Amino acid sequence: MTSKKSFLVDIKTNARRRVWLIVIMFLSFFFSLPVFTAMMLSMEKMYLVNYRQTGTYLGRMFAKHIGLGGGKAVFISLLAVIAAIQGFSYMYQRKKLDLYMSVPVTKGRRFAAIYLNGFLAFFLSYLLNMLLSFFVAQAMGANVSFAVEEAAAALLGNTILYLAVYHIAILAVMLTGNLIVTVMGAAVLFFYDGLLWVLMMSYMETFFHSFYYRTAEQYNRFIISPVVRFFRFMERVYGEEMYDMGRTLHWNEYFAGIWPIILVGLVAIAAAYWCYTKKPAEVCGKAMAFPKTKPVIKVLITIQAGLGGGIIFYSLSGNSMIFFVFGMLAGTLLCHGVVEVIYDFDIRSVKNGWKSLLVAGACVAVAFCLFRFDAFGYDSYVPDPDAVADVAVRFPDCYESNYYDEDLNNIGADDYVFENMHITNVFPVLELASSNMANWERRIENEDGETYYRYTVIRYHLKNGKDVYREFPVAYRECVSLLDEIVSDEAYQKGFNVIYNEPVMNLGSRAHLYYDNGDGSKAVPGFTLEELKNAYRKDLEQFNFTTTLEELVQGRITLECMEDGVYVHSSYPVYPSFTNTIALLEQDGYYREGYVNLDEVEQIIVRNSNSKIFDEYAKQDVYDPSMSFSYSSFTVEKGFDDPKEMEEIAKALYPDSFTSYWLPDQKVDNDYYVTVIYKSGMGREESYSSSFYMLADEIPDFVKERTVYQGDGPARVPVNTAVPGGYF
Amino acid sequence: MIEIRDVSKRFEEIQAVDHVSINIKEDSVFGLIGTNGAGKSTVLRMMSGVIRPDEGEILVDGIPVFDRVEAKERLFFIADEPYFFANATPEDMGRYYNSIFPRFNQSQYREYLESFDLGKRRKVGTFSKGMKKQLAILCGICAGTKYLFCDETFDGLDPVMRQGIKSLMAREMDERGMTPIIASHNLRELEDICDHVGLLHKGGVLLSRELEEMKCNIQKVQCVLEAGVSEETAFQGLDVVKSEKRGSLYTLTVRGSREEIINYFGSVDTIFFEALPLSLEEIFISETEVVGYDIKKIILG
Repeated sequence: MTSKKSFLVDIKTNARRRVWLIVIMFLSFFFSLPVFTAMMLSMEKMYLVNYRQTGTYLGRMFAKHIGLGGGKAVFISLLAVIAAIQGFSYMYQRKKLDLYMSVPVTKGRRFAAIYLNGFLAFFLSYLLNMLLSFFVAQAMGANVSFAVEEAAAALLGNTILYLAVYHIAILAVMLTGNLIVTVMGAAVLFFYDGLLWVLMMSYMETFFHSFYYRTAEQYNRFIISPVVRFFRFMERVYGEEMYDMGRTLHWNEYFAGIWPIILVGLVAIAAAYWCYTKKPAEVCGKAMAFPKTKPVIKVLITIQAGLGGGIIFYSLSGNSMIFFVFGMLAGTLLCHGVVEVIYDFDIRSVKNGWKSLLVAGACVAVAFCLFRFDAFGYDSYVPDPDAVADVAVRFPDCYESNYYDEDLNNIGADDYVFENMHITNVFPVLELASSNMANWERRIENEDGETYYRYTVIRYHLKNGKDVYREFPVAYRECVSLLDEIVSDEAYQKGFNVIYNEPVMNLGSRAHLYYDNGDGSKAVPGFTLEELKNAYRKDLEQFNFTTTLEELVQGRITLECMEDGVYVHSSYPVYPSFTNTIALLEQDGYYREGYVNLDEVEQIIVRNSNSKIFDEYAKQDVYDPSMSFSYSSFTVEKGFDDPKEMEEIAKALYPDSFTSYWLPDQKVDNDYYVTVIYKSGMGREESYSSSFYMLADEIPDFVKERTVYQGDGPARVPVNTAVPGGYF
Repeated sequence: MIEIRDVSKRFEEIQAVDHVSINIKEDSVFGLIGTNGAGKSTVLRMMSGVIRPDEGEILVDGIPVFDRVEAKERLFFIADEPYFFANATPEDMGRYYNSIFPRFNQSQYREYLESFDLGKRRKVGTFSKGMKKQLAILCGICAGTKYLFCDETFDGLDPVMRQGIKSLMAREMDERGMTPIIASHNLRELEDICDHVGLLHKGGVLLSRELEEMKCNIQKVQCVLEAGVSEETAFQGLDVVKSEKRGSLYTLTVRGSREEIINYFGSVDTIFFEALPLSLEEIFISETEVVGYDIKKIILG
């Protein structure tokens, strides 16, 4: 028999007063789990054709539904906040406190009863409805064995998330004295650090030229908010398959990712309980429970508002530094005033607390100066060679292939290159960085006034395990030998070139190879992938940066695989110096110099956009907001079908499809866009055409003469009727 | 016994209770009276363990009261605005207190609910203010605690109910030695039932005495002096708390026993003399006037 004074009685008594919370919890899970499962499976069954696969398919679908998910995480977090606030809301009202605090129950026992009730209301509702979902899914023909692992992971993970959020919300209740301030306090506890990191990144992006944003994880690894952490955790657990059906759950990542959330939860509940025991009853109804925390919290919030105000006004004003300062001032003053008003519930308090205002203002100013004047030398940072384990280099605005992981899933260039490139000969890279980090400060031009630089991203993998990223423009004409050394490094090629990607190279006969000359034709060469791999790798041994300056891509080998859910597409440019690869192509007679076989060409159309004339005209034009003129008004199009002229033009052509490969700046004149129309009956489709640009130094004079703009300026058209493309 | 030892409590800038020391004996009714803002409710809330004193300590039968179950099992606090759970019925409240107080008497509670015509299944939220007060008192009485703290509890009760509640309290005192501690402005109410009175003013204790002793030690004297007798001469041997003169009639509030004062006036040449006992209200006014709490000053400046 239960004693009248037992803890169980306390729990039951407390539960009786929190029936609506239990009802909300139960109904929320009831509708989102068994009811939704039934609806979802019912809908899916309607569309299923292959009934032999029904059980498996529905089982996998059910597994994904019952497993971890972003929507569920947000929903569970909301329930946790509600449970925490509702459970301890007696602390907001004096008459409730008079009852609770005067009855013979210790503070600790009361806390435990309320706390446990808030947890059990969640856990039992969740567990019960999860079990109900299994019955429903089984009854509807799903093979529920697929879902057991997902359900266990979700139950454990979501419970940990619930507890962490619940604990932080309880801490918010303990730190404050009324509901509104509690909600605001909870928001601060949940999002302060996240917003701080966002602000920090915005400041870095704004003030540091060499800032390079790779992944959120790079910057938010210290974020304590359990909700944000939980999303990171789910990404770790499922990787790229997060939203896929039949996704794989990685338990090692699960346990590695969940502990920060557990840790945050434990710290929060310890702090919450300490505050609970210290919280005086007389603060009920007041904004803050502990007067000493008031200026600290006010200053912390004001700093963020000041910094945030600056960056918002800066971006809204088109990057005006005056508005940046104005925004910081406005944010600091407004936020400080609002917090004072909230503290006292009195608008007249807006002017109070000048000392904390000064402190917050000083912090904002110092933070701004640290970033604005790069006090820590972020933009000039080049690590000590002895501190660097290896480096990786990317040229993001140059051609990069599609990249694939070991499961042949398509992944980003950042992920692939920075994962696979480990250049241990760090000196050329560090020298490249040393001599180019300051390029932001100068114009990089050749004697014709044309700029020539390439954005470069470097990842320094330091010996202490830290990865540091920097991005800066490299004046490549001034560092050809350094770039040669980097690009010809085997480690660079292995991390950059897909020919070294073993999962792709192991596709064997599943991979189909094609070759094209840049004129759109596609040939199927007779060599194997293994032969290509060996030849191409051998050619890459001679490849360096100079190759890209001195040679033009002559053709392209494409690898494709589309079977069993695998889709791989990668291409390998062929330079004239790639003798081994060319030898393979020549076996079938596919390789040729030049891109166009004139015997097949009917006409060549050159379209000159005359951009320089346009620019001159635009500079002289008086701005008239009601009128505009079209960029295309300057374009002159001319068709050529004379064989001699076509031969001259063909020498200057460079395939549009190859312009994505590394090319020296201004090698191709983008003003001259050429369409080659082929004769019918040449093994091509009717009216087949392909696109080219012209090599700047090879454009025949007659083409220039006949396509230059000779009018008196374009006809003006009202803004709202201007034709699309290139408005001025 | 409840011992309040040099207790102080400050709410930000306001000194609500300032070094208060009172001993409350068992088996008596203690009336806590005081001016507005004197700290009566604060003292009661500290005595109930709701708020913790900044200084000093409060012991209930020798046990510090704050967060101590053993002490709190001996007391029941009825706040000036009693709280009942949302949508609760008297039955629910009884069940709750029954789970909390070891000696809660459920049968007595049900019996009282019936006697006071408080529907046990009716939602407390639908009760009038007076009915809620009745219910709170019934819960307090049935809790079976040794001490019952009542903060302005009789406010809002009609005279019949007041009498009924007083009778219940008297019965509980007789039967099990319950000690009510009642804070109130309504001094006439307290006068009927209190044995001991503590008078608070501006957070401090002006006096704490047995009511009878208090009444016996202060008298109202009305007299007319014979011609040629000056008031300075006539009253110089008296501890006059307050003096008023209308025409030739002096009305004095004088400290001392009735016998002492009658004996004193035996030697003063008076045309007319009468010694009257003071009501609690008059004692309250006199004592607070001494420390500057004078209604005339408040109104007339």
